[in-house]
Amino acid sequence: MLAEETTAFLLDRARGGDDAARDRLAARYLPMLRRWAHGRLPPSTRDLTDTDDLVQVTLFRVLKQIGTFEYGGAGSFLAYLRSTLLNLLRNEIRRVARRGQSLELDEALVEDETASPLEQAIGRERLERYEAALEALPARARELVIMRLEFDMTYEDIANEVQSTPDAVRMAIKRAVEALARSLGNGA
Amino acid sequence: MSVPGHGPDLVDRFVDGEPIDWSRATANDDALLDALYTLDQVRAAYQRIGGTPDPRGPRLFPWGPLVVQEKIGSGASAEVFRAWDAGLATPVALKLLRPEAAAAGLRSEDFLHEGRLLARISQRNVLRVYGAAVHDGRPGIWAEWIEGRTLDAIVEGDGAFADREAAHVGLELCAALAAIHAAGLVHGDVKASNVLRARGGRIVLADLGAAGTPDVLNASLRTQATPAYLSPQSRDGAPRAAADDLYALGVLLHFLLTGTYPRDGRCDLRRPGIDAGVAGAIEHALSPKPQRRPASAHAFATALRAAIGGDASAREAPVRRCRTTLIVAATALALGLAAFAAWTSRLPAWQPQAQLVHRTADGREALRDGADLRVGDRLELTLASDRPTWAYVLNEDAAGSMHVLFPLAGLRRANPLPQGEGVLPGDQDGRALSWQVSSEGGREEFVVVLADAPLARLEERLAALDAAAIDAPQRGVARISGEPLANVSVQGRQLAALLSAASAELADARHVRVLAYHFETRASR
Repeated sequence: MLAEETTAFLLDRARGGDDAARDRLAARYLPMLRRWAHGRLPPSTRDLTDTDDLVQVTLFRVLKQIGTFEYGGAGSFLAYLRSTLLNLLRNEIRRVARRGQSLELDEALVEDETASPLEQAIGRERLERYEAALEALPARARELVIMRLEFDMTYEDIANEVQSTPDAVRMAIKRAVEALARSLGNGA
Repeated sequence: MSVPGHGPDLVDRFVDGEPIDWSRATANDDALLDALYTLDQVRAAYQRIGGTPDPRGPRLFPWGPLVVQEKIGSGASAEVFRAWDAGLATPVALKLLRPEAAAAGLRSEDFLHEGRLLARISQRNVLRVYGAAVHDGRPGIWAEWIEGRTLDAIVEGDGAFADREAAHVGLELCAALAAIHAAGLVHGDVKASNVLRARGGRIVLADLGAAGTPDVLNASLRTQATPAYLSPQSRDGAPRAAADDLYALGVLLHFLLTGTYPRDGRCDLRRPGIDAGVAGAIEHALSPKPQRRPASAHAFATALRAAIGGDASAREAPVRRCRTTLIVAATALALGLAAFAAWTSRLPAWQPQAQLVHRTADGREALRDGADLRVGDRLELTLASDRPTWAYVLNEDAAGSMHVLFPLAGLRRANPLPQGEGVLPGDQDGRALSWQVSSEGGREEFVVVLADAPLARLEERLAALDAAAIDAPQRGVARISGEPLANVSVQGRQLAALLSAASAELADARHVRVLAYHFETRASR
């Protein structure tokens, strides 16, 4: 990746009205967000809203209002996208729940329809504890953890994102994970 | 935090994404270790759920819900493939019976039946079997896919094991065999090439396709076993028993320590570098007479643990605690019925509490007489007991077909349920499961049997039922009738026949409770 293609650079250009930079940002983040959001909607809502659509709409909406987004460096754009998307997904889940969507599975053993695949895989209570501990971290530490654990990014990609070096990023992530683990441990 | 013998800091390894054997990880602070383990689960879930099968990967043919990708081995009676399970979003190992094998007398029903029995075993050292079915005329069993190496490949590549390492493997395999024997099965082909060390260190006893009830095993597999691992009795053609699995485990550990097999029953373990206690425990398992071998897998484990002393207790970790629980549960099973009866007779009268409940968005609602159940309703059984409990849940519909709702192949929860409070059918990998009402306009019955010891006669009957019924949808509830059995009135013919066949067992009011529920179902809410 060329140095001038850092997120900060592209955001600056996009804010200045550069459509090509905006497209580049979309191309960079759309697959990552799709992958991340894949397990976030429970089965009962999946037939109503395609997760991919929601991701795309979110990303384009954010990019359209890029002028109002204040870039804080250190991966905050990705963290901002994640948080916007998470709120939208939660609203969607609540909206479907209000509508009283009927359940149609007729298997002998059915999964909990109200739990997203991610909740099913990790356990709802455990995922909530993780989210709470994550929220309690300083913004920069939180963003690094999200990029490494949730988005499975390499040190190189994260370094590029936050304009640092892979070694420095690795050390910072280690400290962030230690803080997160302590926070999780205290809350247990 | 540190991992003994693994060099770098545990947090470093976690952050770098290296596989970690959580069963061996240690830290000064247990809460911190638990938290790190939770973070590992979060990361793994994101990776698994976000991942999709490689579209460029090979696709040989579809088989039911699986996409078969690659053949990885074949034997006289079966072929083994790697396949992709889109539902679980995970690779699986698929063993398909060869059509010729069925023709040669290995009945596909036996093959499937054993698969279903094995699927009930949920123990971290036993290859997890997900299911058994026939698709496109081919019977198959599918199980978890393990990335790792077999123990014989490790000995071949890296040389013999150190004594403590071998003893550790022995402890894990004892836990595996305890679970298999407790289910009334015999593995029948314990050997180094059937044990995998997964990436991360988990020891997994595989090739469960060879395992089975002693009858089936001895009828179908006698000629396939590996001679070096056969006990003198098996070599003479005696029916295979649990003691022969322990003998084979002794041979395996001998092989791990020396790279050789015992010859004519003579061991070669008294060498420098091999702890005398470890050698003694293995020699004990290799006794020519079965009655001189350890009485059970648990007894073998106890001897190995004693030999390696305090080392085992130094390895406390989050997963380690789970394993301890499993060993305790397996121990209760391995004691056998006589010991169990002696133990229970010393306990105060058994007072299990069980209740069918309707799960709603707000929680659980106890089902009482005349409860209004509709299609789509989800049912669970809440249970509280002061001792390990064997639960059996059955249902018969208006058309007279009976279904087993618990225990079920593929469920994480299996008998015996641990003492304390629990819910059936329970959760599976974090997914909460329930029985769902899916048919309307019929009178149906549920029967719940609880016991503080396994009910052999009932289990035998249940095992003989058409297991296809397991896939049938489930129904509602209305009235609880009494207990013990004498007071239970059951209208369904099949349920009545089943309860009657096992009546001698079920009538033991001190150790068995029977609940019956009659109900009618209606259209959805």
